[in-house]
Amino acid sequence: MNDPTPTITPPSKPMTRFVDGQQDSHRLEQYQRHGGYLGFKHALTLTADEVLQQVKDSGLRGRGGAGFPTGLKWSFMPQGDDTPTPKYLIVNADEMEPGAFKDRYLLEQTPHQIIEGLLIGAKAVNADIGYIFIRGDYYLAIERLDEALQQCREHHLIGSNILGSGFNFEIHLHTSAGRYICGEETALINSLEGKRAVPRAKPPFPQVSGLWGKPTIVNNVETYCNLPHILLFGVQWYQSLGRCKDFGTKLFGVSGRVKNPGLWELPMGTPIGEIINEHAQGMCDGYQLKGFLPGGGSTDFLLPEHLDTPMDYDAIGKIRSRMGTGTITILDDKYCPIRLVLNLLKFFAQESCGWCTPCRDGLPWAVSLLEKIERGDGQAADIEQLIDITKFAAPGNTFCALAPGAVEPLQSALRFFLEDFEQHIEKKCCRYRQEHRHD
Amino acid sequence: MNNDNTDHPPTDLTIAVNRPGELTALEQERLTVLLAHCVEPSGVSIDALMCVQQSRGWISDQTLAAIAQFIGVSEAALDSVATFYNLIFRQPVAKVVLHPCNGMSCHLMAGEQVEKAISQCLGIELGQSCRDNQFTLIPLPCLGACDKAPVMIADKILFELIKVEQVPQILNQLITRQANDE
Amino acid sequence: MTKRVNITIDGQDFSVDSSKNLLQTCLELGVDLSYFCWHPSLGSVGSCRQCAVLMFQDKDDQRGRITMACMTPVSDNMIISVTDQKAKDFRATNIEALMTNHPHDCPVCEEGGDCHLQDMTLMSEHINRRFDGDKRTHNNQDLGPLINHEMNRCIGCYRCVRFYRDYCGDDDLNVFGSKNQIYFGRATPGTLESHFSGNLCEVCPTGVFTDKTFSEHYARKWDLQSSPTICQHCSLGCNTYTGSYNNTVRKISNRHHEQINGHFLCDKGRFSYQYADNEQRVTHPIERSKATNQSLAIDSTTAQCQLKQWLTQSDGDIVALGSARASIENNAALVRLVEPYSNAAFYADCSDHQLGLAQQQIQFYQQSRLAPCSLTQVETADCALIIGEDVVNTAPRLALCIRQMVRNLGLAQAAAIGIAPWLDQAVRNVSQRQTSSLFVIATTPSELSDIASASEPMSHQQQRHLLTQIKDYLTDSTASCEPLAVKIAQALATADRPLIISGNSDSDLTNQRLIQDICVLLQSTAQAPLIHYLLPAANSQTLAIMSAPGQGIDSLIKHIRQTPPKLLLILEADLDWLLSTSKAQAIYQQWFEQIEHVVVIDHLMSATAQMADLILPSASGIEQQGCWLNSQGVIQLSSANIASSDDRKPAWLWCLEPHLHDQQEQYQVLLTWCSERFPLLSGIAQCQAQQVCEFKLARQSFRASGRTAINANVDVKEYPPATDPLSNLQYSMEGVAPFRQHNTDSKTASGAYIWQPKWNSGQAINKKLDNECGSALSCSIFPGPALETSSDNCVVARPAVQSKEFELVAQQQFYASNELSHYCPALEQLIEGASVQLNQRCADLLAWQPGYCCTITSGEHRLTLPCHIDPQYPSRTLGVDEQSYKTLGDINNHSLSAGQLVMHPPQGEQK
Repeated sequence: MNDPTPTITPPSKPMTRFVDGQQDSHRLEQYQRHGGYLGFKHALTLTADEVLQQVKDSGLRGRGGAGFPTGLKWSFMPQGDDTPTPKYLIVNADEMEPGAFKDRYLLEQTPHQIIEGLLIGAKAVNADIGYIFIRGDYYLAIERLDEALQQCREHHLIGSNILGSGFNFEIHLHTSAGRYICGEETALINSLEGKRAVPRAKPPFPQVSGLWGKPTIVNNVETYCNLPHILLFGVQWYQSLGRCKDFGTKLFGVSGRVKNPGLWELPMGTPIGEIINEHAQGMCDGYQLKGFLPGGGSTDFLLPEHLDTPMDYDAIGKIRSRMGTGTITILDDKYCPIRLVLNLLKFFAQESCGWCTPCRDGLPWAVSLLEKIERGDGQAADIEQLIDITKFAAPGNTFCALAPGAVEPLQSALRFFLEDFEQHIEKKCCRYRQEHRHD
Repeated sequence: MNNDNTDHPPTDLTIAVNRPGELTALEQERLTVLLAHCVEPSGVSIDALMCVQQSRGWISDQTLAAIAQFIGVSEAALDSVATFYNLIFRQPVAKVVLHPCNGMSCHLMAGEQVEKAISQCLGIELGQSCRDNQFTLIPLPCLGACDKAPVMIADKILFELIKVEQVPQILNQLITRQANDE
Repeated sequence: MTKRVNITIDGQDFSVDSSKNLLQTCLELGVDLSYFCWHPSLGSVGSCRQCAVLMFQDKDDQRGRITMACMTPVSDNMIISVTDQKAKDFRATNIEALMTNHPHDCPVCEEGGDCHLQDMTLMSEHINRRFDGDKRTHNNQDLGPLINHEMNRCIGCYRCVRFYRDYCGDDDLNVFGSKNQIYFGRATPGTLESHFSGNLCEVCPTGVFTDKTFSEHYARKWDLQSSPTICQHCSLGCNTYTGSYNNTVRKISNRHHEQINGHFLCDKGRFSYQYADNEQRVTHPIERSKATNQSLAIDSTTAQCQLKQWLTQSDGDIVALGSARASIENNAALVRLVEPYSNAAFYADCSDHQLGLAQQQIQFYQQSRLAPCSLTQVETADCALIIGEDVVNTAPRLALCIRQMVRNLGLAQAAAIGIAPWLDQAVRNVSQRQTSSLFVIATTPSELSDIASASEPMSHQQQRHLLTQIKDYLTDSTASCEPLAVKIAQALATADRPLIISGNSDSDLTNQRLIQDICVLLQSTAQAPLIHYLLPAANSQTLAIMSAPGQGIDSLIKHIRQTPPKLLLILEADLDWLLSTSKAQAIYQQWFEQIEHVVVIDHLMSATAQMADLILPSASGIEQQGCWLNSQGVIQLSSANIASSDDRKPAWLWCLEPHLHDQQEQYQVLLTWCSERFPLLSGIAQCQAQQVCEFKLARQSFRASGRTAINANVDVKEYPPATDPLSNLQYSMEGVAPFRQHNTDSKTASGAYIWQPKWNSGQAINKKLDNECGSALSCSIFPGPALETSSDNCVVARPAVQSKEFELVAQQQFYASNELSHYCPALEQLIEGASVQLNQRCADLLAWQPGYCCTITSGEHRLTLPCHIDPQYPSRTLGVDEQSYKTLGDINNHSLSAGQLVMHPPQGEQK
């Protein structure tokens, strides 16, 4: 195995520096040329508690959308000789959030980074078995991960007595059979058990009783990708990268009618306007920014007046939305907002697992109302009903976060784009359809 | 076990096509490997279904019963799982399944027009297969490539930045690929 | 004693048990809180969201947050509100969401009037459905002759699969699809396989699953005439409500009994009620002239006189045959009739062998201070040995308890990490497939083998060997014993609550004694085990007490052959059933020639009844009040549901002195006599006394309709309702309704039907303000402490030593082994047929080929039966259905040589 020893300058874009557009940039050689697996090797010299402490100190928050402090999440896993085994560590690579495309990038371009992150996590919590739960249609990513795991096995980075350290950890790649709900960590666990992907009630938390009843932790792909660098370059460096209270970098993306839709690794706390206007190079000619979803289809709309807001969990939270996945979807002024919300609600209604009432029966109800309004058959009372449904499916009222997420774009659209709703109802048609030839 | 056809033993493909209630040797081998590493048999349900679907394109009632029996779960239990997941097909599908993305980012980029173009080109509606059994049209939401919208997945390829004019060419490309594979 | 905590609900303070969830706590306090997916036996899963309440952090919190009561444990100083507008709005919207797909077909839905969804909808105050989109619809499945399927009504509470799949362990019903198109049914249409499928009708809160047999003769719940009854189809004595209308039985529902059946019944008990109305029932006395062989219906008085005359003429030379499917009173009356005569005898309607075993077991209870445990106690065991009894078929409700019992290991593990037992999914996740130890040993394979630590079919001899080894090991743990024996012995010895279950339908005395020795050993050296001993029929235990040692049907036949009596009195027994049709034929011929007068008292026109000189119509179990002694040793009173019509009377009324006109007085006299004559049954008088109270209680609801119109086709005037001299239950609505009984200081804890204000469906059980179960109409006869020791003077036939090649065993069947099930048209296609079970090796030895039948010859009897290969069957063993077994074998003769078995193609089959 090549062993690059020269000192490496702490990078400003730790997660994407491996990717240079070349054919083999996802392979082990390239990864190691940039210091790959050095973080893990360093972790092997520490105790589990020390590794865990570093992760806690770094202030890393989960990148799946919820933003829960990673170190804290890991500390709930019971340790000690009489805790049940095996312990499981799982990568949630079931990215299916509308508007999200960041995990695909990491899975296809930096599979080794994920594996290294998983290994570090395993060391921190004394896990025995790892799963990468990847959606079945990410074909290229599956191929590359398979190859990456094979390479790792050949280089004794996975399996028993890793690198002679006495540490054992096996990783399995599991492809899912579809359904958005598999992205919910407890539903994912059920899916791994060969069952219907219905979420579980918490408590008990997966750390206590998860996969096959054993202690389990599930984290997002991007979360794991932060770990090798935290271990290699240290907590101070990591904390210096953010532009706000949150630390490290984040993959931010923009999709929609912008000149340069794409994905960029930027410091946490980068203002939204900067991402949209500089990196995505602003709106396409002939289009104006009407609003945007800051972090995927299950976040509340924001308006141009919010462009100054830094992209971090708390700042976005304060303006009544969520950073979510950090991939921004642009609503331009030529696309009917109701049509967009309808598309989203249809998605969520279709992806409901069918377990609890507000999601299973409430979301299709909202779809039915939105369809009526969108095609011009709506009534004023329909808006009242829609508002009722958004309250009905509020967080805490449902079994999991799918329905509360589903009504976030709806409730914010009702708040910000009420005029459009009213126009549809009064005029009995969609002006966007007429004016801009939607069809 | 009697093998009364010594001249032309049935190939895996023949069995898969003509005897839906029978698993091929290769399928059985693959399922055995899955079972060897499982915590308990019901745990391989989804993997077993996907594995057999790889060779058959879809899972019929008889095939489902055969898989259930092989891995040791009841038919109802296996079908309960099979009917939950959208990538497990319990109705016949054509040689290539077209998955244009109907997520919000793709629709914002006129993705609906791509869907309509495919529909018109093949003369089928969403969920249907065309008469020559070449394509089935099943849109899927959010394929995770929103910056390249509109996109489509078919035959394990991700088609990006699709323009309506490109649809016939893409379809031809897929037909050629299929012919080469056979 | 669980901890108590203080909680505040809508400003009121309560001290409550901390082990229950908030929903159950609220219901038991009398709060009307709606719910769907929670069930007291299935626990909480939190899927329906209907039980939402508002929880406040502290006294200053004005806002509160919505929480699901079923998933919330009660904690000290908890403050919640049920009536806060936010919570009410939420619950109303939840119902409105459920209603978006509901067909609103109440007028044509069987569930209407007995529907939990109706109740909860009204309770939520949702009345204006705003949704005007399309409703999703489903295709229904034919699920067999017992259960209807109407999926459009489904509200997705998942209770059906949680009960059927998780609680009962059956695997042909599941949930399919997802989102708002979820479907509950089978993979392919077909009869539901579970022995407990009938409970779906009560578990389903809407009309998706309803009672198909009830649909054939439907009546609304408010119109039904109900009474608290005891199931008469096995020895467990589950509690039921019988519902009838216009004097025909319409359906059986579960009657909650904390200690016995809980919330569930088996299908055998639920659906075997049509015998009471079957076309062939006896309605009038029939006398047959021996000379002309003509039968003639006669009136009651003539019949009574005829009986009296023959009694006098017989001069004490009387033989009587009692019945385990008749009540204690009826059997007692028969004993009382024959006792005064020295040359008279009373026999039980089971084999001498079985009777002896049952009697010996009773002696064991008395000597050992070990009393049989309740079914609830069965569920608390942490290690169980079931030996010598096919409980799945002979005591299905107990088998279901065993399925819950094996979960105790997982429940303990869950408790250790702070998971409450009612958090059902969480407990199952922690438990995975781990189970408490269960060992199942019988001569035939068991359907409990999927949850057993070890399950092996073994011959009686092999069982004897195993039991001896277990006993040896318990006596001396250094003894060299086989691994299975060691495993079982160790498990029982180290358990906190060991349980041993056996019975007398498939055992012999040696084995029974060995089991008892093991019980005693455990009692003295480790933990006294819970024990339960099963009997074949509802009142088998009563017959064991009333009969002289070992005086069963074999002795009866012998007696009659040696000294034919002048008069033979048969109570509700069918020799075709008891001996098998072919064996009975020879007997009938003899009796016809040798006995002067044969009198049969029965409600079924059985083969035996048909050969009687005089048939006296007895009331069926539903048409009379009667007491039943179950396998646990509890005497329970079953109330009459319909006043018997025509000339049918309880057997004891035929048997007693006609000069005592007052029925009530006659009954009292009989009970007193029975209590004195059989001290063990003295509780029977107590049972009767317990139901006396100041007020009349109603069998009909206050909304029962049509009373004046129902006989309008016969007469213009209204007929008075029938009277019930033996109980304080009225055959009308003129009495105290069951939900008001606790106000009347009535000692009858169980009313005639279950209902609470705002709760029309069976879910009202969870709203009972007093938690007394229906145990008041009962008393236990084995209280525990030893009574006077008596020498073991029971007589049990000693089985001959077998030395032939193949063993013949009786394979119990769920419906076919129950006599009364054969008289129910609804069960016709479910009654299992006669057949032979054997494993492949055995089949090969006998040169069996697929499709072949087996002709078995034993003595002068020969049967040809279809064959089924069962890989679980032990070697060299052939299992035949019970009736075939009675034809071909018995305890002394159950071994066959190869020459007695011939495999051949079925006769007359087209090739």
